[in-house]
Amino acid sequence: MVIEINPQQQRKDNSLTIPSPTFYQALLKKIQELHGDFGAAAIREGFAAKYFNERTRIAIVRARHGPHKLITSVLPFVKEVDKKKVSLVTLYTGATMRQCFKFILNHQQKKINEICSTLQSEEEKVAIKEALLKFNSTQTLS
Amino acid sequence: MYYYLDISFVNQDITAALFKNHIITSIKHVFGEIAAAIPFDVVKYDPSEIRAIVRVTQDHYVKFRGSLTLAGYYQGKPCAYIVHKVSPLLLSLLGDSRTYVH
Repeated sequence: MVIEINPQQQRKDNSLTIPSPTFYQALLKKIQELHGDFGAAAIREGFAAKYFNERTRIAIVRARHGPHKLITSVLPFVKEVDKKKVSLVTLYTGATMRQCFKFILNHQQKKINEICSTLQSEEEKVAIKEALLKFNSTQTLS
Repeated sequence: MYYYLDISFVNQDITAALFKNHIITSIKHVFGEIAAAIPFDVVKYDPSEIRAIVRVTQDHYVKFRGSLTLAGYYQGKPCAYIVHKVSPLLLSLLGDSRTYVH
């Protein structure tokens, strides 16, 4: 069970650096708050904040099927991660990583098209494309 | 549809308001803020026995009952709830075959 979310920063710069463990802790804390001991215990099994793309600000959260509903209900209430004010938007909920990556690819492609429409030269477009599709700034935590 | 619970509190004398507050606190602890909003009423409270009749809707009954069981402390001291009887009909809390005198 993989959920994908998009933390949107309130500040001007587009990139956002948040280490995976802090993101994980922020979610866990919020669930403890809103769903209590029961909620925290229900999601902890198999729970992981898996990866965070700094440039496109995309994170993947893994949860078991069933308690994933607890997480999706809590996501809009997460306001602070790593002392930074954020708002989370659930982009996609899928059952396999494959489906999620497929979605991310489409999502990135859409973003590239948006940016490219504002650009003039061909070289800039290629540079943007490479910058967005590079998944090198990732961290994992399980 | 409602469930009526005949419950008593094992710790010390408390008022009806504190009694309800403690139930809400324990729900909040076990099931969080979202569940703490579930509606329930203390229909009748007897301070001499610390025993109350509480009404809760059917959909929230399981969570309510669960958090009553898991309530462990009141003001730092161990406490417990005894559920004497539960029924969807208020009248049947009055008596049963165990208390029936022939």
